[in-house]
Amino acid sequence: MPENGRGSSAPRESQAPESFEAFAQASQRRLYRTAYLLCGDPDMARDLTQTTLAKLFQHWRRASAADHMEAYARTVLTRTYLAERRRRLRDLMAHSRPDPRPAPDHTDLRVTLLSALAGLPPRARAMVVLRYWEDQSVESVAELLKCSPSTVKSQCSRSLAKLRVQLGEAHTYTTGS
Amino acid sequence: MEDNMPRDDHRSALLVTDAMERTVEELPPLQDLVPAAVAQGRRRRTRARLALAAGIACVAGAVVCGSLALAVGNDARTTVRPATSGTPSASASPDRVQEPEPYRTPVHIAPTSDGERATAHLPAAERKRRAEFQQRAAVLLDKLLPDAVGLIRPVDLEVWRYQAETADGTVFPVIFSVRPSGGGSGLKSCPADPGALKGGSCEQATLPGGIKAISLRVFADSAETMATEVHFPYGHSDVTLMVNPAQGARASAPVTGKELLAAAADPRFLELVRHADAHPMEKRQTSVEGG
Repeated sequence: MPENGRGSSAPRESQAPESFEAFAQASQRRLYRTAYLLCGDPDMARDLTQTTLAKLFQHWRRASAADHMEAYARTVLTRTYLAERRRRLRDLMAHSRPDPRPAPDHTDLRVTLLSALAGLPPRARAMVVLRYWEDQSVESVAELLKCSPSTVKSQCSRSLAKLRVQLGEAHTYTTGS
Repeated sequence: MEDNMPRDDHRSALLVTDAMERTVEELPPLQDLVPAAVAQGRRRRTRARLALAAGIACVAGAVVCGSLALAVGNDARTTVRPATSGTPSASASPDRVQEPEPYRTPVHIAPTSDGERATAHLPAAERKRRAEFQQRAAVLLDKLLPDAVGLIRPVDLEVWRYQAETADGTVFPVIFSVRPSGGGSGLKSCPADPGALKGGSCEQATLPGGIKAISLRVFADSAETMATEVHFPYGHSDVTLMVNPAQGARASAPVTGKELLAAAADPRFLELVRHADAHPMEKRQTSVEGG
């Protein structure tokens, strides 16, 4: 569904290189959405997206030569997020800097989802977002996160079980099956 | 998603995907990040090139040192000229003039005292004014301080608190305070007895406009790490610019007293100070000297 900005459906993955500005204009909203699911906070997502775009600008010659620029950008975004999370964990040793976790008793779906995602370890959260939002294959996620496909499968399965419990019965969903 | 996925996982995956789609639909509109990303990317590129070229870094250091005119008098007093920013000036690259500065997401630190809670509960307009000042200050300090200090962000707890973070995650607390003077003598000159610095050093200098300043390099947080600080009076305020050792006392502040003085001498920095002096954001000092 191109309109929801999800990765696998981006139409220009294999097109010829273009200017950074054109690519960034076309990609920023999709990256922002993915960043939001990773961070759970609009401001942090904006910061993460801007940093990702800045890194792409910095290495544009290499980035624009990539076979799949969208995938390249997604990799930069995810690794930047994980690096930032590692830094935050270190910061927490010295500061009481809380995650922007919403109140757990809130009934809004957005809040429930973000709260549930916030309960996952950063890498597991990244796996879930890449698999079920970006619609990436197990192999792609494994390559991006430098782990084995079986790790991705098992982590995703465990994460899904946790998310299912928290999203739970409040949000009845019809699978159509 | 895979067809061979267990039935429960398949249902859960659909549930999660649906929740994600609904969640991102509620996101507010995104401002155009491209101009700021280009500006930030250029700065990253510049920093990377400087880091790679050690020789260039040495030259840059020499330029910074050279910009300090050690000209006035035969004693330790110096006249400090503005720091070089390390990035091309606007006149050198006119296309950069219109680019917005990158937004610095403030570091959030939860208040732990009544004083800090009072800051957190300021009226929205005052919080906004302080946040805007901190953004300007963070971006400017980033330009004026050595790259080794890292990326500077405001700390939302207090208007005078900032935090610098290097690429490897080392965090240096930074203080930039323009505090209405309480009338005390404050730190205006180096102590007559060098022993009072306990192994540290102090230098007196004159900033543009004849402002008398001192810079200190003193041990802080541990017996092995040092902080660097500059103090000077301005208008009705006392100004402090300080880079503390890394959190956990892992490293000294990576900036010399001369470099910090050069940053303080920059006209853009003094303009920020002038603004903060004219429109105070901190409480008047009430401590008594020696108290």
